[in-house]
Amino acid sequence: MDTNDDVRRWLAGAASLPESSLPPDVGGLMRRGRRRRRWIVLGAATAATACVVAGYGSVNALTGPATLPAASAGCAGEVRRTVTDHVRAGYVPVRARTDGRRIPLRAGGSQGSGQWLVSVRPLGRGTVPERITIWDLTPATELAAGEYVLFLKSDGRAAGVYVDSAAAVFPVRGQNVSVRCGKGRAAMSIERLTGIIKAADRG
Amino acid sequence: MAEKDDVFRDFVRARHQSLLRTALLLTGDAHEAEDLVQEALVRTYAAWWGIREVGAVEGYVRTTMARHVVRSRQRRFRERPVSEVGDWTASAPDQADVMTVREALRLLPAPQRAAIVLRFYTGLTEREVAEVLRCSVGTVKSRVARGTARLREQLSPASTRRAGDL
Repeated sequence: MDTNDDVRRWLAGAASLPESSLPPDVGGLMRRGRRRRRWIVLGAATAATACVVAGYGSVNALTGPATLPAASAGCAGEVRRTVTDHVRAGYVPVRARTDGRRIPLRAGGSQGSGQWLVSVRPLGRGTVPERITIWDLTPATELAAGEYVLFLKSDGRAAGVYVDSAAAVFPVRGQNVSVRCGKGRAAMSIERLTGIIKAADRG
Repeated sequence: MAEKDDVFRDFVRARHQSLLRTALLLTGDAHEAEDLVQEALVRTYAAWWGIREVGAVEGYVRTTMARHVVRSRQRRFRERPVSEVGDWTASAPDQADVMTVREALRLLPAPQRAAIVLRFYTGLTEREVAEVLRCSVGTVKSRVARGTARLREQLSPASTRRAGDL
């Protein structure tokens, strides 16, 4: 008898799939493959935002305290509730998948682990952005449809960023973008912006 | 293009469940597994013309998944669901046992987990695992030995009897 038969049995058992597993959205996968789109996801709120920007519509995302400030800065509206609060208010917590599907989650046990649910409203369904705005922790009350949103933390490090995708997917290469951080504003090229955020992302 | 799409579509439909099982073991989490399969399939589609044989596609996807798991182990923010997910995983009859094994897998460092899954679930040789994970055979042996030891620590003695009967 192979001495690792026990491990093989465990793996075979743990790999069992329920009948209810969803079939793949092959068309969506191929569309993503054609665009060579890659999301650099640093947190759940980022995933939700990415889905929204990509035109998937409203998404709720679970996020931890580390990304909450950045996430709330990107919400079109003031949303800061625990999962339980959301459920009481009639929301259905979901987990956003990268193909835009949403999987319902049960509420509960969120506060202890520091988890929050952040609702993100659509910023523009499938809209190609004409400009990019970087938000710091200022409430995003001026957020307009069609903008492409990147987040900066208060310490200047980036959070919730997929600049590679922005440069590759959207026709913004070589263009200047409006950068807003606190009260300051400046224009810089997307390449320079990408470099700055990549450097910040590396810490 | 249409022919490529048809072949890809047929491949995904035929092999999705199998890939999902492997991803489930690589991640230890059902939702992460779905994301992992999607990501690997997207990359596979993008690289479709570079794959010489259709028969090699599945190996390509598995390699992509394993490398992705190992590479992303240093992600700073790990998504943690706030509650038990009832819809996806609750229908298996021996749910507690399955979840116990998955949790034990999830607690392993990603390189150890990947090595164990490729070796004992996918059935690759140590040399093949080394090629997939881009490391030496000695490293594979070390990861497998440490990983299985930790698994046995987690799942034995009480859990062993249950999980072994899966």
